[in-house]
Amino acid sequence: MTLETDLNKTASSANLRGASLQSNPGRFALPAFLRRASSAAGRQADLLLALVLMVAITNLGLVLRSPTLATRVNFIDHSWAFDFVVKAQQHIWLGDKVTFTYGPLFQLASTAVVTAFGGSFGAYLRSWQLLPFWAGIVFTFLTGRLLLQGHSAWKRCFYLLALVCFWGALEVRFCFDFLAFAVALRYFDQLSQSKVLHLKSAVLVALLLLAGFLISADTGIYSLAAFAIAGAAHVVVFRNDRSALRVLLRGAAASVAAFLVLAILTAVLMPHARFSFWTNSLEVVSQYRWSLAYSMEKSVKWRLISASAVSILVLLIGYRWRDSLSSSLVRRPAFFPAAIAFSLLTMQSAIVRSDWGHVFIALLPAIALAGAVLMGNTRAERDWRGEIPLMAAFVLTAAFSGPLAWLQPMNVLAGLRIPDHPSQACPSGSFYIDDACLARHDYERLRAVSEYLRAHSTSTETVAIFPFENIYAAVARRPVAGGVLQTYQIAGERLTRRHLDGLERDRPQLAIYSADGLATVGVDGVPNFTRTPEVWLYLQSRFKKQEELAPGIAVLTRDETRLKRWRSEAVSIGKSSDSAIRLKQQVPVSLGHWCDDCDALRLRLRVSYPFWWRVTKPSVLNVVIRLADESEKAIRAVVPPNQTADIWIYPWEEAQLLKYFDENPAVWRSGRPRAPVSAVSLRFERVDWLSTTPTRVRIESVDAVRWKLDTSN
Amino acid sequence: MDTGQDRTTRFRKQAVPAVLFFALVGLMFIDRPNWAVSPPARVWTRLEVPKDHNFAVSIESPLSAQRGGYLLVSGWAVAATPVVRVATIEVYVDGVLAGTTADFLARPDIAANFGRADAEMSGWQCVVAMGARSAGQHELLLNVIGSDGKRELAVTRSLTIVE
Repeated sequence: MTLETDLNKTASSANLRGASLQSNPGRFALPAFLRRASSAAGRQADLLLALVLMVAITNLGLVLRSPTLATRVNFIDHSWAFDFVVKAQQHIWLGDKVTFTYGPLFQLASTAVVTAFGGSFGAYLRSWQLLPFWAGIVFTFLTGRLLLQGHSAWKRCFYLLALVCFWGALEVRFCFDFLAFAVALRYFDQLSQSKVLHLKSAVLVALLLLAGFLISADTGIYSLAAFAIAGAAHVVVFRNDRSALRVLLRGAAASVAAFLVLAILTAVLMPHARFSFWTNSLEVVSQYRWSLAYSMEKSVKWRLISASAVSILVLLIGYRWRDSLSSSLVRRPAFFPAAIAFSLLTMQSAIVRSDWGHVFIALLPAIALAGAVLMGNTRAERDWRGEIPLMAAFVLTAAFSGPLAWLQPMNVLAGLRIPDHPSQACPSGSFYIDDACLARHDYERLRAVSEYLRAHSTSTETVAIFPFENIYAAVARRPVAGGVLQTYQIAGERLTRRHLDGLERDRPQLAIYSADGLATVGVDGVPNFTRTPEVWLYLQSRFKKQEELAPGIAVLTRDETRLKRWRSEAVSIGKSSDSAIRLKQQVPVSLGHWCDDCDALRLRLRVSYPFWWRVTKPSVLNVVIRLADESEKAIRAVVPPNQTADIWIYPWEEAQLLKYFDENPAVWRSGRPRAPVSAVSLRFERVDWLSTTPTRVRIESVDAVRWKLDTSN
Repeated sequence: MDTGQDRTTRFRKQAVPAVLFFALVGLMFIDRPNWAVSPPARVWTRLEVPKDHNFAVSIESPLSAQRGGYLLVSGWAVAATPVVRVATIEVYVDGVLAGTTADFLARPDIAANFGRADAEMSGWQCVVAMGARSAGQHELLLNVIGSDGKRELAVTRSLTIVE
């Protein structure tokens, strides 16, 4: 049954009701247009609720207030999110020239919203949240329509309100994922029921899968998985029905073929990336697991276990209520195995990056699908006991969550108060820049760097940024150079090559360098030099320090002769070894004499993990450096499992690495005394209960590296 | 024809969901922690502002810098009572004002340790230029100013400047 026929049925039932009222003149009768309006409103109550929620969450008082007061600038997240907007204004699209987790569709949508409010940094700060909020509401509404077809409008309203206002379904990627799952279920369900393949439906499903990849790489993977899981579940359920099986397989093949055609078309439309858009997207997802794994707090662990256990239990119990003749998708036999498999799959995101923010959104599909099962039957119950699942949904919602602050009535009302005469001045203690009022610390850094860039480059000249503060260039409306949007995403050979090729292609004349410990931090505690040594070396061999704009923030300028004068020499100072790993026990690295003017330690090693690291996450590697003055330093490093890779360590204080950009090499090692490295060991630690212990580490080479610059010319 | 039984059936089908929907709307008016909010961090240490002091202050960064370079001094500061907040931190080196900050960062761990939600924005950091100060041991002082205007010399530490 289609949505249209279902609505027709409801409409005809409404007409019958109207006829009944007209035939009974003794009763109160509404005018016909009011009856029609109230009947339509009743049928579309969930649509009306979705619109009300979208208006309520918009917070006009905030989004129309200019300039915007920001308590704190997040130099990581605001850097990529505002850079999207600036890049779109310069017609640079994600996936084509630049690779990132997010794709061009997300960039286009977020830019449209921010541009509508002025396109400035202030406009971004006051409106960035609108896209995920609106998209979350729309996707959840559509999912409710698809999954709860045949249910009363009140149930769909309850479902939408509970998911959006209490369970926080306000995230583009995962709300899109469970919409994709619902669409795939509906597609295969229709195929198995009607046994007729409509090419239009196959193309629509393929378009949805493509949209997933254009939103973000992981959304695309999950959408594709949703399609495969929904298809497989139907094949299993209809394995004894040959005609249904045939049409299911033809339907799957048609969608896959349409998707491949669209994938080729997408590649053709990306002149810089071509087919590497697809390989880069897959690379971003596959490298994430080892390069950006994050530990899980115990409190988060128990929330994850309890929420997933309850959700899976509901889906398992729901299987007893399966009904192949039900008009609701969430009662069909294929729904239950597919929903369990899809819920477990999306929890992969919670396993890899396990802070609550990520765990929370990864749990959304499981909660949404279990919630749909709890909406009960489509038929009228004989007594109240038939509505026990719905009551359980209410009790669970009331017990485990309060209302989202953005949608609490008091806050909604406050948000509707639009200032009559918006103030053009910043409140005392904050300072104006690009339509935003910032705290002094953030303002001084942003103003110093963005004004320098505006004064010393044209609007089309690119700027290199190290490590990730793209916001400096974005506020100055200068494009950031390179092939990967943020350096902490560079992991593995392919993405490193892409970024360096991008730097070569863009050939920026200026670079902004932020020193660890003074002006920036290492993501997840990994020093930026150790995370992306190739990028640091690229800059150090081609750029020289021009001036320091703020403590630890330096402008570098391209020196065309520097690379020819620059040399890197490696001195072998240790022997290769192969050791078994025991957790928290140090693996000593055989080390000879440390050369006095050596600058960095390079370990080439291979860490062996059992195959199941691919569904969990690797352990943390700490490189423990002992210096001749008896001081000790532990440096966190990332290394790809089961691959030979280099780890670069600067044994002293990372802030000193800024000195290496000086034109005079005598300055590089000046300043703080650099005690020689006397011992090195490796220590592996599990980050949490979900991380896998490596079995062996093979150290292939231990080198001390020194950098030289010929200054004779 | 719409029979009485049909109407009863429709009423049954819609009554419970409608009641529960409005009950959920009612819950929107009750302020309770939302599922999206991180669970509270485990409290390992219980902290409190010492008696006879207006503020509890800590420096967490190492106090060693290079001559002519910069030093990032960071830590947290909490006022004795929730009605007063820490407004400004001043950093003095050898009695000379070397840096000041009025910007504070979220430190949920400190708020949890104090068991006070008002201590959330207690993190601070300040970049201090070493300038021409000579190599050797120096004295670093922290002066805290509250929103009520009260000042307190909070911390004295030794600062090492190397060549």
